[in-house]
Amino acid sequence: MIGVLVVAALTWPGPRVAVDQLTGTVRTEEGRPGASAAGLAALEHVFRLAESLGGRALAVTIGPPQADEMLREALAAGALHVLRVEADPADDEAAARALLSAVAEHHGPPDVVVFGDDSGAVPGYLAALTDAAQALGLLELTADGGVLGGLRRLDKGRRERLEIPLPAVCSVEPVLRPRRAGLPAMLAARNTKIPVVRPDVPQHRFPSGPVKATAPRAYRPRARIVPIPAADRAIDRIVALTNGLGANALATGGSATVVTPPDAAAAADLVIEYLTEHGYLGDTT
Amino acid sequence: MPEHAGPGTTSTVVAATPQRAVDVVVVGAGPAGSAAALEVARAGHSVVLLERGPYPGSKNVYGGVVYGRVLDELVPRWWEQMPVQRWVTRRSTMIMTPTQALTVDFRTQAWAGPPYNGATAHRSDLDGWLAGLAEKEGAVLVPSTVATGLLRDTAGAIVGVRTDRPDGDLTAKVVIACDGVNSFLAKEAGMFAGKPTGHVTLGVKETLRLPRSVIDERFGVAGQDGVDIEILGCTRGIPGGGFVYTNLDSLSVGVVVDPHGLAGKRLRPEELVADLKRHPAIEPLVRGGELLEYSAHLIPEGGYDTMPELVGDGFLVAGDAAAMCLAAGIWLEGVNFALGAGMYAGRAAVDALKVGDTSKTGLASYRRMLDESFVLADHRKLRRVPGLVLGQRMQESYPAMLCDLAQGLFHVDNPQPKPGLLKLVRRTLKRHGIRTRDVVSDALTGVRSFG
Ligand SMILES: Cc1cc2nc3c(=O)[nH]c(=O)nc-3n(C[C@H](O)[C@H](O)[C@H](O)COP(=O)(O)OP(=O)(O)OC[C@H]3O[C@@H](n4cnc5c(N)ncnc54)[C@H](O)[C@@H]3O)c2cc1C
Repeated sequence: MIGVLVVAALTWPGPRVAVDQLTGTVRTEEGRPGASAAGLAALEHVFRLAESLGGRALAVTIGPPQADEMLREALAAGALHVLRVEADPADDEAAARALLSAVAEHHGPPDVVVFGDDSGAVPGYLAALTDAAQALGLLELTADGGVLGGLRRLDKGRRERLEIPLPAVCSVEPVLRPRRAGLPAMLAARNTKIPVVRPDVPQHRFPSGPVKATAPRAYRPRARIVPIPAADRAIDRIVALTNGLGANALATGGSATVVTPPDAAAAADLVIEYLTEHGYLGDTT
Repeated sequence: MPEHAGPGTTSTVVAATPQRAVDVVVVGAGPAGSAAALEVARAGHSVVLLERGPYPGSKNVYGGVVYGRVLDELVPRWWEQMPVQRWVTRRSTMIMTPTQALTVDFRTQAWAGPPYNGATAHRSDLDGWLAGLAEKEGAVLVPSTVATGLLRDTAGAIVGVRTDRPDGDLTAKVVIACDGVNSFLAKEAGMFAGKPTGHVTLGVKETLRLPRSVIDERFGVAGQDGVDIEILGCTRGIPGGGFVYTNLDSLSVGVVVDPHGLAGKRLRPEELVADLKRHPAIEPLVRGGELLEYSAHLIPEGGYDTMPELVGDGFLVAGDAAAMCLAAGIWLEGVNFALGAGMYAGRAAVDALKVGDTSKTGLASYRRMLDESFVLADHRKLRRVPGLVLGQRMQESYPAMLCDLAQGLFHVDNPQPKPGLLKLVRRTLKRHGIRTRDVVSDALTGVRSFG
């Protein structure tokens, strides 16, 4: 496995948007420099993977020159290479493309890319672009005999173990503290020039745009033809017509239906059934 | 008080060769440390600036008005590059009781343009800028790294520092300790031996966000003009003072108080800040402010008489680490003294390196430069001021007496005729149990200190 390229993709905390509570003015503030806890955990995982796979560890980020500091620390802690990608991706897909293009151009295609679990949809897009296995939100990520193993939380405190083939894109929870760089390595890294790439990638491959809203109009639900209720008194017929659940529901003070489906699939069936019955999903006459 | 007890470490003795990893190690990237590193790097020597925080300014607190005049010597036309919030053009001194306030309000547009006087600034911006200047000249800043102790040679001279990183020993010809108040390094070096202890005060500060236009309106300023209000009588009789400073779109509000006094009265410092914010003279200024940050930090307040030895073999101490802060009620100046001391420490290290003698004798020009400059001249001159300003009379009796005097003077009590001023003064002094002798004695101390 000599030459396996293991990449830590560190998220640079971009500017934060804050709203003034007094005036409602929206302003942007620079975030604190440095990798997030999840990013640092990703870096430590990458060092360990590179050690077990006998590969090269690369730390990469998309960020401004201020992000060099974060990469210098990665270098001092044990990264063989670092790379700063200068791009202004419009969305997570473009970010994945920029990362991939920069890494591939300088170091070849990555075998494993590890993100912190605060990286939005970038890992997903990257996995799709590279046709790699995808294992996100991991608690543990190890390599044994050239195969990656992952551990992931499930509901009710259960865990699932994953066997992840290469190439792979993973993301990890902030559960590992990074190793501390030695002082000589820190000093050496201070004078290192951080390589910068400006990848030339098209911003969008798919013609997806922002959600479009049409001009607002009054809501006019389609008319439904319902059978005349079989009741002797007019009031009972009206109640039956104006309340889907019949007079009984009115008497109990509302039309809420409490259901306790056994699982999510059954819950989805109930919701669809209810919406269909009440004319929200196509013509039911 | 065990303030001088130190971190419990003893220096590590190393078999030092004349070869050292770097010429100078500066510990602490506050104003003192960055100024020292800047001077050393400028002279072409290798210098490492160690900072325990993840970036300069991350661990530092101040209100904060910085008086930049000392920067004239360090950074020509500094006002064009320093990250300033507002230029102070209005300085108010307020004395108050819980229901009264008497303000001397000074305003000058001379401070609104170059070469300026004081400016409000955020510490993370200011410290980042200063450290950046040192880095540009070649200093190597190493963040997230704590100097945990000193390295000495077998003769006892300091030859470097030990840090908390793996392989963390760093040898140097000179170590400059700029590690702030309660300096573990200066203590470990034995610089505080025989010096009085217990001279620290506690600074607590809230940063409140307010729109810039609201601040302009409330404080009567425009553009980048700003206000510095220093307050006496707002600390429930505990020796100290308060402050309100305008930043661009936030206010710094806080108190600086004697921690022993707080403990004695079983008070928490934030209660005093809350008192101040509720005071009828302050509440309209801070109303509606959104709390952005709360911070607390110790400040050395003992002044000249509590300063440690400043020079050792291979070792210099500067800034708060050497108790060079002036903290006495309506004065709170530390950054300017730290900048000055750091600059002279850097220069002294360069002098010593030039002649190849970094012993105590070789580094002696530090003390000389400090003596000849404002750093020690001001501290010497104002050595009695902390005792005067932080005494009970100045803290409690005088504010109440002066407020009552002003109230008596401006209160219209018809059909009674207006009282004569002397009679009013005598009556007010008596009511507050203040003897004329004490007033004269305090006035003389003041004249001697400031005269
Ligand atoms: C609430 C408050 C308000 C103040 N207001 C003002 C004001 O308005 N104007 C003014 O001029 N002054 C003010 N001061 C005082 C001023 O902050 C200090 O005098 C000044 O910061 C001293 O600078 P320095 O460089 O000596 O120390 P510091 O600014 O304390 O810097 C010391 C640096 O050393 C680092 N450090 C410490 N130990 C180690 C170690 N072992 N290893 C590595 N790094 C270490 C710290 O992280 C820090 O960055 C105020 C102080 C407080 C607390």
